Amino acid sequence: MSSKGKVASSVAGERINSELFTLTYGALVRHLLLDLESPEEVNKQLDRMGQNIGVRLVDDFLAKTNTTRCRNFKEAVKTIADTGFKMFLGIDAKVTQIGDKECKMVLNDNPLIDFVELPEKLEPLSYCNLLCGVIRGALEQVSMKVEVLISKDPLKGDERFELHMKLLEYINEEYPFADD
Amino acid sequence: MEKQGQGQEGRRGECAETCFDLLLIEMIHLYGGRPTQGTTTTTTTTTTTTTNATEATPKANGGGVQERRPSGAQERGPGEAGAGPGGGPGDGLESMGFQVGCQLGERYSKSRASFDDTLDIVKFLCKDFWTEVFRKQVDNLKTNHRGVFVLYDSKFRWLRSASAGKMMGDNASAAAVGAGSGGQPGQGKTTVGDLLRFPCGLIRGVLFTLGIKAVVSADVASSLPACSFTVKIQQQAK
Repeated sequence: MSSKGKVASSVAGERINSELFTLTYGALVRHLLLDLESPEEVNKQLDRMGQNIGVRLVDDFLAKTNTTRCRNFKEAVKTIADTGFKMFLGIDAKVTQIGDKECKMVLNDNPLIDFVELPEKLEPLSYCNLLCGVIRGALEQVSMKVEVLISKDPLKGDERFELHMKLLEYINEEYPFADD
Repeated sequence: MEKQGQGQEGRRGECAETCFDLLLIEMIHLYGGRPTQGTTTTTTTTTTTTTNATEATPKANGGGVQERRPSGAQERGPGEAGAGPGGGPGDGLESMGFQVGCQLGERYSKSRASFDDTLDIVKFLCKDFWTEVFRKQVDNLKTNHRGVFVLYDSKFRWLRSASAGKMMGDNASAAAVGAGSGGQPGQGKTTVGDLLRFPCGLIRGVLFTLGIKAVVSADVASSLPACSFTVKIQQQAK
């Protein structure tokens, strides 16, 4: 664990046993599957919810850590891997490949998929799609538009959980000039 | 605090409470404030008895050996559980709470001796379960000895950042909401009642797993972080 990681888990505020979180997420996914027509719709919904969470989570993150401004995609990715995951989910993440516009990140553990097995008919379901949304929403708040995909998923037989992130563009900050 | 390291694969990591809070907020956004998709029924209290007949059979936790459902517990065929007859998608929050309650109730009780009677189970709910989930015990437990229990929590954790103002929408004074009665849906606003539907389901789930069928409703008549849950037992454990 990096030293940043240690700091992160201590400043993150109240900790809870992740079982409650895991099981609640499971209940949510199950309900979405019942309510929405197809697993693809569920993916979209999860992504949307994730984005909303990410938008708020980034505030919490910036408030609690002393992160300096991430100047580029690489720095942002490293911050997420070193501090973000540790702080919020209590897990370690490692950046395995990194370029200016793309990176891959491996999670050593993923509390969201504890106790989960996917039946075959749910193949199209991307169970952890919430995570993608969270990262996308969070980075959008710091002026980066990214695309996040789950490239390896233990629920689908892979060994590790891996996220693939791609930078689409830097968003210029827009100030609300019009309110005079 | 005292229960760490118990269970084999049981308690693993911790995560930030923020994560759970934000997830719950999103769930409430999606399912609260309005009758959910599908049938626009306001589920009646009777659903509590029928919902999830397919879930684990009620067991009084005797015998020590408990059936555990470690893997696949959540994802076992979405069709078969969750939406029992009438329970349906009508009150998503409550039934999600119920599901989580069943699972947590089982996990938290697996290492303890069997329960003597209903009161014992309710005490477990107020002390052990409450401490695990809300990190404090219920402050006050009242009963009429005829199957009604009132659990009073003076600082209910999930209401700690709720405000009584606009959130309550048009029903400022009537914040009482029944677990199964669907609250006052339809205004498209999040109400305190919505915040409490998940925990109502949670409580009902725990009791159900331990062999008691009950109807749970919540009430925040007094000042806000305080909250009381009324548990009406319909069928006792043997």
